[in-house]
Formats: sequence, C-alpha cells, structure tokens
Amino acid sequence: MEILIILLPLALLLGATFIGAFIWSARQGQYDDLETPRFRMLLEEKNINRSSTPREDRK
Amino acid sequence: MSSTHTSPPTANRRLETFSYDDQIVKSFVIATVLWGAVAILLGVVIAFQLAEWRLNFGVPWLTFGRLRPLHTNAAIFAFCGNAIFAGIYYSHQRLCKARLFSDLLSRIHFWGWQVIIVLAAVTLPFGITTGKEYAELEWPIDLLITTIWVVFAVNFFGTLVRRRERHIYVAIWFYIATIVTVAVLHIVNSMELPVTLLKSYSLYSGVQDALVQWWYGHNAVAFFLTTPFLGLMYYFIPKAANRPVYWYRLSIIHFWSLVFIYIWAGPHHLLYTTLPEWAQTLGMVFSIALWMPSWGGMINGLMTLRGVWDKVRTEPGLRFMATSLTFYGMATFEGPLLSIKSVNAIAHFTDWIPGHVHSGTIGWNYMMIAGVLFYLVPKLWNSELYSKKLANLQFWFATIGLVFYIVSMWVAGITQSLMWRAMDDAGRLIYPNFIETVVKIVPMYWVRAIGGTLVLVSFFLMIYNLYMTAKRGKKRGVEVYESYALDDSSLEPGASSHRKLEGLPMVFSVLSVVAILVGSAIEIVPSLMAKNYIVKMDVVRPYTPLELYGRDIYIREGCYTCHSQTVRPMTHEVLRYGKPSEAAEFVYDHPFQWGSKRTGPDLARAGGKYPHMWHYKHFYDPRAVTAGSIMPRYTWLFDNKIDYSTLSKKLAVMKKLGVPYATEEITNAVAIAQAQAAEISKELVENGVPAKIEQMEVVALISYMQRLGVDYGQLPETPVELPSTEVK
Amino acid sequence: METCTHCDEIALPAVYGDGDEMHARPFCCEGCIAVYNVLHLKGFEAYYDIKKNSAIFKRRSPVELRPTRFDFLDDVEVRKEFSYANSDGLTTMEFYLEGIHCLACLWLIEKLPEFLSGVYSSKLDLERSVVTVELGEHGKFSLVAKEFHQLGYRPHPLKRNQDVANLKTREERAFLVRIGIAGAATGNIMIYAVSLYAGADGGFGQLFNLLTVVFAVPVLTYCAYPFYHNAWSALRNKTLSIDIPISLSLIVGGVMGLTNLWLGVLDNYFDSLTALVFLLLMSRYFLQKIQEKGLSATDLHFFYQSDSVLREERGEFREIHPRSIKSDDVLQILPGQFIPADGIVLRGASNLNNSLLTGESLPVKVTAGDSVFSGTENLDQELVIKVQNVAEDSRIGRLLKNVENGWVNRSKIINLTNRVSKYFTLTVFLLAGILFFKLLQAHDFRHAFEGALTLLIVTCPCALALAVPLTFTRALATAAEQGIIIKSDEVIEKLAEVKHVFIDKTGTITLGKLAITDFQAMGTSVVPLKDVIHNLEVRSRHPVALALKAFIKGSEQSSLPVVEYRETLGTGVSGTIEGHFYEIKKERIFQDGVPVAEFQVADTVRPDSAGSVAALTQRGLGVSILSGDRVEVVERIAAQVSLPMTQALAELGPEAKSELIKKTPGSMMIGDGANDAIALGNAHVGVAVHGAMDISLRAADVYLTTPGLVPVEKLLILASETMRVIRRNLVLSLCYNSLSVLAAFHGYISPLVAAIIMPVSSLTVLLSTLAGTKKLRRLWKY
Repeated sequence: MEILIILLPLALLLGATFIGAFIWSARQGQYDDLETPRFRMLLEEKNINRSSTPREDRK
Repeated sequence: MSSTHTSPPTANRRLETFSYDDQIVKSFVIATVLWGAVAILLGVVIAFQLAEWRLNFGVPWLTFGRLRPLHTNAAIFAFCGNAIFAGIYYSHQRLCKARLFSDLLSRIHFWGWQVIIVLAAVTLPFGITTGKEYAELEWPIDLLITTIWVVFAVNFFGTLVRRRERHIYVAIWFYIATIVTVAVLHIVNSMELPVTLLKSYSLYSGVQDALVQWWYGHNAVAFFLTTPFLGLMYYFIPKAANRPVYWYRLSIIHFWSLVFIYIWAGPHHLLYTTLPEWAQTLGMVFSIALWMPSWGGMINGLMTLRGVWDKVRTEPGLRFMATSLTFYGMATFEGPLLSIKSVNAIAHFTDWIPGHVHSGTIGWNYMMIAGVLFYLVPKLWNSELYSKKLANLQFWFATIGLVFYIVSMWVAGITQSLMWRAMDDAGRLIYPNFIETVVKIVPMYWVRAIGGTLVLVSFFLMIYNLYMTAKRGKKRGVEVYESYALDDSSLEPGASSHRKLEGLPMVFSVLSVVAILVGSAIEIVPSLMAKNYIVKMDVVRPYTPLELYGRDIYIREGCYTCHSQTVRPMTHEVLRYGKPSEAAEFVYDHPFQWGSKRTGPDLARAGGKYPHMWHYKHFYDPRAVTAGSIMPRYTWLFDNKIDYSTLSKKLAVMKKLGVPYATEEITNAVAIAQAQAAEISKELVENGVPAKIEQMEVVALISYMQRLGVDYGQLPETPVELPSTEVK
Repeated sequence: METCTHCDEIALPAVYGDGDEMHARPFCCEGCIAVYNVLHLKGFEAYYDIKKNSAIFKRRSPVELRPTRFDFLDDVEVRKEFSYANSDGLTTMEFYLEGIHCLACLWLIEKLPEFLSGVYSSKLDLERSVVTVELGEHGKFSLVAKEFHQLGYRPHPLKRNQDVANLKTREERAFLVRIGIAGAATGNIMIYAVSLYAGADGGFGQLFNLLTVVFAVPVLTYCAYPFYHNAWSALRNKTLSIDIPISLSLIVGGVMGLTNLWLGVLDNYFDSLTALVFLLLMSRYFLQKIQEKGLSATDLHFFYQSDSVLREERGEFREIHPRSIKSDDVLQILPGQFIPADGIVLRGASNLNNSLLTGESLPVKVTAGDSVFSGTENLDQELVIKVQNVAEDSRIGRLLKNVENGWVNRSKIINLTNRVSKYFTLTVFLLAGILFFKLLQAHDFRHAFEGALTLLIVTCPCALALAVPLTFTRALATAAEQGIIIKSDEVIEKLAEVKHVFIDKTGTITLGKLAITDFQAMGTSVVPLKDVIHNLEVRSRHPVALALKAFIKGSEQSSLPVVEYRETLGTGVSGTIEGHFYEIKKERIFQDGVPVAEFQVADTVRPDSAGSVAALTQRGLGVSILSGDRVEVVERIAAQVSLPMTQALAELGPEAKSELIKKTPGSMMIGDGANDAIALGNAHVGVAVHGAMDISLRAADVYLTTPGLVPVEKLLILASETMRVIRRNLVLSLCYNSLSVLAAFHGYISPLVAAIIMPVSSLTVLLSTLAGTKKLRRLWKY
C-alpha cells in the first residue's frame, strides 16, 4: 500500500487547507450572525438603470 | 459594458455600480440542455444494447464497450458540469453582489469546456481511453481539463475577493469545496506517463491504482455531483420558494463535516478485494458516517419548503427540486447501506450498483438541474414559463422512468447475486455456467431501457418547454445595481499588480495548492515507483509484448465495462472462477482492470480455461459458443492488423514505470511478439483458420486472455480458508 | 373584522387612514397610519409586497409611536460610551429595535444607507433585533435613530463601548476556532484510530499512531485551554468546578498517550480525549449562543434613560441625556414625554397621567406651583418644571428600587443544581482515588490509571450542569418568538407557581380605546352632526375625542371654520360654527345650549378575551378583574366574559389593589405597564400587557408585545411544561451519572466507551430539551 506515501500527505494537505479556510472564516467573523443571512439572500438588488425596461415587479 | 465603474471616492469606501454577466450563464444553460440530451440518448442506446446485442450493429465505434465511457463522461462532465457552471456563475454573482472577475476568463472557461467535451466525443468512441472508470480521457485532454479548471478557479475566487456582501453564504462554501477538491482529485488520478499522443499508461499499478482510482471515482461523485448541487439547492430552493433556509446553522455544520468525511469514503468500492483489511473497514466506517451530513442537507432542504407545499404542487420548478431532495435522501441512505461489508458482498459487481448510481444521477442531479433551469430560463430570457402542464408531464415521465430503472436494477441485481452464490447441500454450484444468470435478467434490461426512454422523452419535453419560454422572452436593457464596496482592500481596477496578487489571498492559495501537487507528483512519484517498494511474488512475471498489446485492445474495447478481473475470497467465487486474487498478481497492471460490473463472467482466472479456437469463435460470434450471450461481436479484430510500430516504445514506458523488462526484450519486442503470434495462430490454422490470422489483432487479444491469472495458478490446490463473513 | 394593513393587529374600531389616495385602508392605531404614510412618502411601497408573501419571523405588534428625541446621541461623551470603531475603523453603534418581525423589516432597515447620507451600512441581526450601523465622518447617530423611529421601530441605543465590542467578538471567534480545530482533529484521529482498530500494523501502524499524536497535541493544548483556565481559576479561589476533573483527565490521558507512543504500544487515548474536548466545547458554545439570544439584562436595565430631556441653559433649552439631570435644573417637558424627576411646575398647565403612582387612569390637571413626580406622563400641554430630587431618590425611584434589584438573581433551581454538581465532583474525586489504589494492588499501574481515568471522564456532571439552564434558555427563546419578553429564568419558575390571576380591565380585557356605543340625535342641528364633531374634536387627543372621531371616520366630512374654539380640560370642547355655538361635553352635543345629540361612551371587550378567561379558569386558576372604574361598568364587562360578579372588583384604588394582591399567594397581575406599575411590582408574577416596553419592564416580570390575553395562556403553558422538561432532564442526568459511576467503579467500561457515553448524556439532555413536550411542540408550531 505504498501509494499512501502520496495519498496521506495529500489528504493532510487538503485537510490543512480546509482547516485554514475555517480559521480564516472564523477570524473574519463569518459566523457571528447565522440567523440573518438566510433572509438577506432572499432580497434582490433594485435595478437603477432607467433605460432597461424592467418587467412588472417580479421578486 | 464596463465591468465596475466607481464614483469618485468620498471616504475610504465607495458606492460602486455594477451589473451581472448573464450572457455566460445563458451559454452554459444552452450547453447543459444540448449535452444533457446527448448524454441521456447515449444512456438509452447502451441500455438497449445490453437488452438486444444486435443493436451494436458490429460497428466498432458503436459498441457498448466504447459508448458506455462516453455516456458516463458526457453525463457527469458535460451535462452536470455545464449545469453546475451555469448555476454557480448565476448564484455566485448575486450572493457576492459583484460581477464575475473577468469576462475573458468566463469565455475561455466556456469554450474550453466545450472543446473538452467535443474531444471526448471524438476520442472515446474510437477506443482512445485510459481505461480508468470516469477518468477515461487521454492525457492531452486531462491537461486541458486542468487548465480550464484553474481558469474557473481564478474567475470564481476573483469574484469572491471583490464581493460586496461580507457574509459568505453557505452555497459559496460548497462551491469552494468543489473547486479545490476536484482539482486535487483530477490531478492525482490523471497521473499517467504518455506513450504516444493518444496513449498513456497510469503511473500506479494494481491495488494502488485501484485505491487511487476509486478514491477519485467516489469523490468525483461526491465533489462533482453532490457538493455543487447542495450549493445550488441552498440558493435556488429558498429563492424559488421565497422562504429562508430552515436552519442555517445546520447547513454550516453539515458543510464542514461533509468536507472532512467525504474524502475518505473511497475504499467502499473495493470491499472484499485485495485491498488491505484495515483500509476496507476504514472505507466502510466512513461511508456510514457519511450518512449523517448527507441527510442533514436533505432535511434542511425539505424543511425549507415548510409552509409552501401548496406552491410545490403548482410550481414545476419547486416540485422538481423537492423530489430531487427525496431521491438524494434515498440514494445517500442506500449508499452507506451498500458499503456495509455483508451487504456489499451481495451487491458488489451486480446490477444493483447502477440502480443506486442512477437514483442519484437521474433522481438528484437531473431533477435538481430541471428545477434550477425552470427558475433560471424565465429570469434570464425575461419571460414566463411556456407551459406548466408540459412541465408536469415531464415530471411524471421522468419519475416513472426512474422508478422503472431502479426497480428493474434491484430485481436484476439480487437475482444475479443469489444465482451466483446458489449452492446445493453437496457444495456444488446450482448454476455453474454464468450465462444462466444473464439470460434470466435480460427482461430486466428491457424494463430499464424503457425507463431510460421515458427519462429521455421527459428531457425532450423540457427542451421544447424551455425553448418556447426563451423564444417568448422580451428584450431588456442591462440591469445596473449599486452597492458599497466592502472595504478599500477589495480589488479596484487601478490597484498595482502586486497588490492585485496579494489582494487575491484565496486565488493565491488555490494556485499554490495546485502548484505543490503537480510539482510533488511529478518528482516524487516516479522515483518511488521505480524503487520497487511493491511486495513482489517471483512467480508473477510481466506481460509479454504481444500480451501487452492484447491488454491495450482489452482497454480500447472497454471490456472492463462488463467484465471484472478479481476473484473475491468467497466459496461460490472460488468454485466458479478459481483461487481468490492476490495483491501481487496485479503488480504490473498499469492501469488496473478490476472493473466494477459483472454483466459478463470474471476473467481473473480465464487463462488456459478454453483453447484458442474457443476464443477465436467467441470473439467472432459469442452466440456460437454460449447460446443466449448478449456480448457484441468483435469482427473488426479479425481484419485489423497488429500495429507493431509503437510496441517497443510501450515496453520502454512500462520499464520506466517499474515493470522489470530486460533491455533486449524491449529492443526486439516486435520479433518476440511475432513469434508468439505465430505459435498461437498455428493451433488456429490447424482448425481451418486462414494463415493470415497471424497478423490480426485477435491473436494478441487471445494471448492476453490466455495469460490472465496463469502465473498464480488456476485451480485451488491448497484448501482455501475463507473469512467467516461469507453469506450462505 | 379586518386586520391592520401595517401590523396585522385587529383593526377595531376600524380607524381608517384619512386622505383620499389611502381609499380607506384599515389600520389599528395612529402609529401604524403614520408609518404607512412615511413609507409611501419615501417610495418604499414594496415593503407591503415583501411582507405579504414572506415568512413571519415573530408575531407582529402595533407600532408604539411616542414622541422621543435622540439629539443627545450626538453628545461627544455619550458617543464615546456607546459607539466603537470596528475592524474597518468606522464608528459603529448598535440599537435594539422594537417591532422587528419579518423579511420586510430587514429589507427596510438595511436600505438605510440609500436614504440617509453618511451611513455606510446598517446590518440587522433578525434574531436579536439588534441593528449595527456604520457611519462615515459626517454621519450623525441622532439622525439614524430618528429615521428608525419614523419607520416604526423604536430604537434603544445599546452600550457597546470599545472594549466590550472587541472583547466579545474576539473571544467568540477564538472559541469557534477552537471548536473547528478540535472537530477537524477528532475527525482525522478517528481515521487513523479506525485503521488501528481494524488491524493496521507494522510500518503503517506506527505511522498512524504518530499521526494521532500529531493531531492530538494542538487539541489538548490550544483547544482545551478554556478548561484549564477555568480549572485553574476555580482552584485559585478554592471552589470546586466541573472543569477540574475534565482538565485532570485530559492532562493525565495526554501524558499516558505520549508514554505509550514512546514505548511503541499501539493504543492510546487520544481518540477519546479529542472527542471529549470537541463535544464539551460544542455544548458550551451551544449554551452560550442560546443564552445570548435574548436581551442581556444590562441592556434592559439601561433602557429607561433612552429618552432625551430639554434643559434650560443660558436662556434656551438644549437636549441632554436624562442621567445628567441635577436638582434645581429647569426642564421643559413636551406633550407625551415622561417627567424624568420630581419637581414643581414653574410655567404652563397640562393633564398628567400619573397612573404609575396612583394607578388611576383618568388624567389629573396640573398648573404652576403644583408638584409633580418622576414617571408620570405629560399628556397634552408643555410644562416647565424645576427639579427637586433626581430620578434615583425620587419617590418613584425609591419605590421601584426593590423591584429592580431582584433583577438578575439566579432561580432557586439553578442554585440547587450548581450545589449538587459541586458535591458530585467532590464524591467523584474520592471514588477515583479509592478505585486507583484498589486497582493498584490488584493489578498494575496501567490498569489502575485506566480505571481512574474512565471514572473521571464518565462521571463529569455536565449533563447535570447543562440540564436546567438549557431548558430555561430554550423557554426564553420560545417566548421571544411568541412576542413575550421574560426578564429572567427565575420568572419561569414563579410562573409555574401561579394560583390566582388578577386582570386589569382597561387595555387588557377591553381594547383600551373608548368607543361610542349608542348615538341618538335629538332635535335638529343646523350644521350636520358629523361636521360638528369633526371640526371641534380634530385637535383634541382626549379619549372621548378619539372615540368620536373613530365613530364618524367612515363618512366624509367637510372642514368648516371654527370661531372661539376652547378646550376646557376634563369637561369638553366648544366653539361657534356658522354662527351657532356648539358644545360637546358630558356625553352630549349642545347647539346654542340645546342638546341635539346624546351618546354613550364605553370600552368594548376584546373578542378573544372571553375565550382566554375560560381557558384560564379551565386550568384551575382563580380569575378576577380589578379596576378603578365604576361598579356597573366592571360588572357589565365581567358578564361579557362570563365571570361571576364576586370576581369583578371595581372602584379599587392602587393601594387597595396592592393589598389584595399581597394577600393572595401565587398571584399573577396582568395590567397595562404604565398604569398598574405598583400592582405589577407587588404581584408574585407581574405581566405587563402592551404599553411602552421600557416603562413596563421597569415594574413587571413579563412584557407582552401583542395586546390581549391569548399570550398569557401560552405563557402559563410554556412555564408549566418547561418545569416538567426540567424535572425530566434532571432525572435523566442524575440516573445517567449514578449508573456511570457504578459501571466505571466495577471496571465495565474502557476510556473510549466513557468518552463516548459522557457526551451522549449531554446529547440526550439536549435532545430532550429540544423535543420538549407535546404541548410545547404545539406551541412551537405557532
């Protein structure tokens, strides 16, 4: 099973990348408020370009 | 249309106006619909070919062996691939409130991916394949895939860095996991040494190649067909139902647990093979552990629809997505169940596995794509859905078709398994020769083919429905939005190049991960392989040049799609095929050919079982030797001459991969091969075969068939003690 | 009957928005109309579309519009105390907003930067109803607060000075990072541990063993640091805390694991130890996240002074923060404001609603020279007063002091469980010691150590410590979702002991708004009666005037010039229209002295009151009505809610009410926060129904954001069911602990099994809390 000599460091590297990503996101405060994002993604930006003829107000 | 126009900076934060790039999403949607039709059509064709062998028409590039890899690659990478890119590019921009990083990269990504698909469609039917399941594309195409994937990663992370919404929504985390992990998987599993432009040999061999292949195989399903679709689900279901995700904290938890557990579930494809015992148990334990995060996703998705079930009844898009979630739940419950050793002993190599695969692909992927398209097309083309009735009709065609598929495969799978292992009290096989099971389940292949046709019809209904929706779309100017930049560190066009690079921490890290991988793989691996770490058994010798050529034909014709080459340590398999396989037997197999399906019998011990003449007649017309066989005819093997030009180069490459060929064996490989060919065809000619057969490819294939499992011995001289897990 | 367009409260009597383009939409109160107009003014009509088809997050309640001024927010010293610079260097301030209930509110509030210059972002946390506003250099927080107030969300600035903000975010994020690392390490260690169990040995066996150690070290050092820290501080001040056994088992387990590695023995305890750390951190994080959900007590306590005051400085009145009032200051009190301190009136005359003091709802007239007390509401005219003593030692201040200091005391049951878990830890230490020596003689050191380690791990009483607080916080969260704000855990416990319910008539059983019951015209009136009413009553805010205006709202009226308009306080209004002298007083309309119309004014009963009263009596609770109103009115209301006359006690002064409540054990008083403050304070449990939130919570234990008695029913069910869940959790954790001690003592379980069943016990407690009871689940379905 010598393939593990590649697979193991590879898996550890992958794991390390994701732990790094987790720490970066925690430090960045991505998990401070886990209640509002699920609502905020429902809201859509208002189109401010008068020339484009928006359809009747569609969500 | 300038990508971002920034008003003069008042304080350190500016109000920027931007618009989304929906053109690229439209092109990916069109590609999805086109390639989807091709992929499902191919699926229906090969399903009918299994039911009725005459549908192979005796034409090389239409036979099942070559079309099946094309179907799998088309369905996974062309159909689901384009759908993922469409969904990701649409939702990523909106979740980040930013235009895609660069329009140029998006176009390169789109046209590059379509070129890859066309190349696959051109190479696979003509037998240009690496022989590794779901990674059959030859090495030039693999390189192209890697570059296009890096382009996609840069484009994706660039947008993420320039986002104007601080919180990274959970869907984006799923996309990130997909990009990073698929990059790693593809690179590691595509490690192959090229022989010619269209031929290469896998770096790993035997058991190790099997572990890497199925580590890739399972995670291609995991990180290409599940995590991106979970991301799409977390965006499109709330948007379509206008309801927030049921429990957002649960989605974060199940994302992080999914990422860590998925990567290790590969070995459950190799239970009862020569993979070490602890690796098999590890694969089993982690596959069962996988059940919780998967169902976490399903519950979160379905509960989001609480309170809007009436809308699910009327809105076809929502109904598709809701049903796809239930099929996702079913498939991810069946999966861990199948990876339990005792259940796997029954199901492995049988038709139950494609049943499980298609409840995931048709049930989860196709239906989620349909749901997403029914949401996207009206929005992109600024129109209303053409006809809800048609969409409901499509829904029922797809669902009934899928149920036909799954149930027929359950029936076929269990029939095969029970008939294979049926023994009378004297310990003899009740159905000794394999064809008895095949004949029994052909009707099930018909039912599956009909199910597949229903799904194909449903897909055409969708194409018509979406086409009419798009046609009625009213033209509309570009929509422009405005929002505050997060902070000045987000990339502005004027930033100095260094700041640009440093301003892209994420893309920087992705590139570095890819760089490390490619670098380490190229340097370390060959040196490792050469210093034969591998446990050797002196009785096992490398293939002779002719046999190696025969093996390439075996790979070219895709024989592994129906035949397996590994005998499991179970009584009924020992009685039917011979001694259980040993790891050392496959040590020179670059790539390994254990296969994952036994439509036809296992060939691990086929060497010497039948005379050359039997093989000769069998390849010409299988029904001449085994009545009722559904194997296609390989008449072109009797007309194609053996191409000795690259033979010695092949041996040289094998030597570089650690196969101990003597140098003179390489230099006069052609002579050795011709001698062996002459010796084999002597017996054929005695039975009245014209002499010129000696130069034909069939002789090489016969030489390979006669060599399988010979070194380690066919019949069990020593009594074989079997592990107690054997199922009566 | 329709519901109010803005807030879904019953719009009865139908007060229709005036003005033509409104084409008579139903509204329930002035507040909702005002907000409706503002939204249309600013072009946010989309608010009502989003509201229509989006999920309701919390129950909706009528808009509580009271004239509040926020200029004090720009005062440098206040700004330093409230705002902080966030990571991007922008001055940020947090507000608690009353009345947040759905996606439309989120949409509206996060659009602030679009219509208020100088504001960069306003991010709303829907769960805690707290908005975080980032300002540029020239932004003003007072404008922000005014804007929120205008949109119908009464803002309360939260004290978040620099260190509080930094500390909270840094600490919370570090905790998350610890959990992440512990989780990832546990996952990976399990990979190698499963391989070792499944028989990987030789070269790979050693490699996997080494890898488990490599992964375990960061967990046992960095991630487990909080446990060591707590254990160390507990040891330092000689108290027992459950972190001590945990830290001990972690340290000893770690050392043993390393020695095993050194000796080449293939098994170690790292898989169980990391699992232990990971699961303990998860339960602590979960507990902290739930508790922080509601408003912290300090925020609530601070609410009272969120209304600025006008103080005379060098001749003109400037806005100051109530806390900086000193005696002998001259203050100007605007109509609708609360008098912040005791003092004497210098100039002006007005009606005062000093129900807070006397419990009497009828307004009291005050002119120059009379003394006024803090906490009373100035109704309709401006007053200038001279301060005598400041809020704290003002009459009302002293009176409510004792009510407030019961603010954050722990409930009896939590104190009980903490004591039990402390003694439990002590016994565990003793048992571990005995077991260690017993096994030392019988077997060898390893065996003894393993037994002791198992005992330490398995008997950690975190299920016990988790059981009660978790259930309370879950109950508080459920209540908040129903629009019921409960002050502290202890209140739930007291709620379960309620025997008798006293209900105040006005505003609780009835709608609190006077309505015209029967209106007979007599003789002929030159000017049509509805025009008379319209023109005379248009400016007055007297309850009778409001009732009359509501009555004629449906018909269109013409506005006519009024000559010599005079509003005599307490009696009525009069004026000459088209040459005729009209008077509206004492429930009659006079034209030139001749009565032309007579009307009865009465308070109408809420439609759902009868049902609620019946439900309360069904639960075996005594129900009686208390009111200062006349006997026959109270008896008529009692009849409508089918209560026997003995239960309807009328014409009670505040002192009489308090006496009655003090006498009956397990009393619950339900009343209007402002008027019945004294009675609410003295009751076993005081429930303030709708009224200004900050004032009500000063005296009552519970504040209902939505009017009516229906929430009270839910409150009582919630309380009794919560106590049942607590008892179940306690039984669960106690029997788990005792069983595990027995099993560990006799050596039936290994460290790994211990590390698994210990978190499982916390999990069962968690699940039993989340599952609740059948009744609770019906409540949650809402």
